[in-house]
Amino acid sequence: MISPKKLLKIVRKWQKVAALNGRKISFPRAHHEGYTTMTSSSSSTVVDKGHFVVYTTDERRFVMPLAYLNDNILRELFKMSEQEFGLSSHGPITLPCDAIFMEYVVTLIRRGVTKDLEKALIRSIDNSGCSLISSSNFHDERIAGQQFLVCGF
Amino acid sequence: MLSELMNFLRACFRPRSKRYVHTGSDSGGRQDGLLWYKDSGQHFNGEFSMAVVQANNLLEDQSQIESGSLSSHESGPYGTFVGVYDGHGGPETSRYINDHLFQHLKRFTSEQQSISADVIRKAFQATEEGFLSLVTRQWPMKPQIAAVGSCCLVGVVSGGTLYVANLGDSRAVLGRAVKATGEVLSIQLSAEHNASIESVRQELHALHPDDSQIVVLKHNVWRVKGLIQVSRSIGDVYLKKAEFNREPLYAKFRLREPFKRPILSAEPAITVHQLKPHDQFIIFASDGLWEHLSNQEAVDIVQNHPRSGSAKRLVKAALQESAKKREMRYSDLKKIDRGVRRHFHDDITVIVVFLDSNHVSRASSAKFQNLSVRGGGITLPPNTLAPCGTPTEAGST
Repeated sequence: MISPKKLLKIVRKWQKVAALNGRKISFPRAHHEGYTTMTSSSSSTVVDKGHFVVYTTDERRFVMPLAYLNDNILRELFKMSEQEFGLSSHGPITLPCDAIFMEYVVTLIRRGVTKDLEKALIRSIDNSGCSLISSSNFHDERIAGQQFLVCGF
Repeated sequence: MLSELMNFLRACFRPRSKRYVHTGSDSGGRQDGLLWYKDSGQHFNGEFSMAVVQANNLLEDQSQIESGSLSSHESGPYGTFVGVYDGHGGPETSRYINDHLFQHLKRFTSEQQSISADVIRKAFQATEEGFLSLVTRQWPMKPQIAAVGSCCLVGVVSGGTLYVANLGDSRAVLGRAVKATGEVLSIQLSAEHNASIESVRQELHALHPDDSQIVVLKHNVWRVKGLIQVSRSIGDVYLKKAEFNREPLYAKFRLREPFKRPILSAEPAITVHQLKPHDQFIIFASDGLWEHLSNQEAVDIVQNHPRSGSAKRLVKAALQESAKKREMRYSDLKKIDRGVRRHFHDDITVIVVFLDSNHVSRASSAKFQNLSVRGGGITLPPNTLAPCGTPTEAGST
């Protein structure tokens, strides 16, 4: 099982990184091309060139640039998806986490996470075994306010 | 007026397609990224076309076409052997089959001086036993090899007869022309041994009446013992011999209770068909193709285009379908590296064997040089970086 203590540690570490890089990255989310989300009901279209699509367990759709496939955190989520859901050939790919966690991961990728933090996050994902990752793991009272900061810039 | 124009256009294009047909003199294939293909070649009974696309980090699909003498002697019988081996858990079993099954078949054909369903069955059995002894030898150093296996689809065309032998979920489909309409209909020549099929689950329950958990629905997919989708295979000795279902095999492969009977079978289903003049071609392919194309869609694609490049065309059609299901562009799907690519589609192997009615029933070897081509792929060790475009494991004549 995932250890909340460990996660808290990771989140704090990340916040340090975010604070360091915060001023350099100031894309308003709506105009950023890195990823967009929408509900699955409006999703039958093929995405723009150079992108792929994944869904989260709460059926939110994430459009990401192909380069994200080289990211180790995302690759780990793909592996977990294989363990959780098997390799389906029928529909879109679903990753075993919810949209808030996914947005967090996207933020990490977009900011170019430090290697140490990346390793720590992968380790925490690994330790959680096959259980689905939920952002509720992050919803410790003490960091709930920070969570908004993390995702809402 | 329009038909004249069409005839004119056809006349313009014919020399071009013919030229392509005859470029198959070299038996090696070409590599384009993760796609390997041999657009056209000559086998004993006509032309063939072959293509493989890799998705796994190590290609688990293996394949071969062998044509000429089907025995250890040059005296024949003559014909064409096709094998598609879709491995799982690793490439070891499918590679082993690629290296041994045809050799066993030639040996048994020589002994019995003819090809038959019995010869093919014996060749499968010898391959299964050979792989079991390999696992037994390697178990102390490499125990995970006990959890590697492969589907095995074989077609043999000789003297106007077609034999199809199958274990697992690859499939052979015949394209047969209907004289009256000019259409080419698809006829499935093999049945899959996959737990997703009701009759396969019934067979498993009948074979294991004391085990109510012999097939389990997991994440909407039926799996034998909750582990594997196919009910028959070469290898997978961890589900055939209880002595290999123990530590140090990974815990996820170990069953709670020891078993007395093999859970998976290595007995191929063999069908025999007398070929008719209107039998046009046979498509042999791993399930990576059939999960995206129906039998008739595949037959139509082959029928409505030049013979050369048929296999590659089928692979591309399947990839386009796969891209659509993943809500992305085909041009982008092709850019994804092996390994992570497996989340978007499976390894796909296609061999299209055209049956030239002038050659199908011929029995002499006049002027035919033995042919041997193996489906290629990137065979770098798992830790190396992105693949380069060099052809590997190309066949030789």
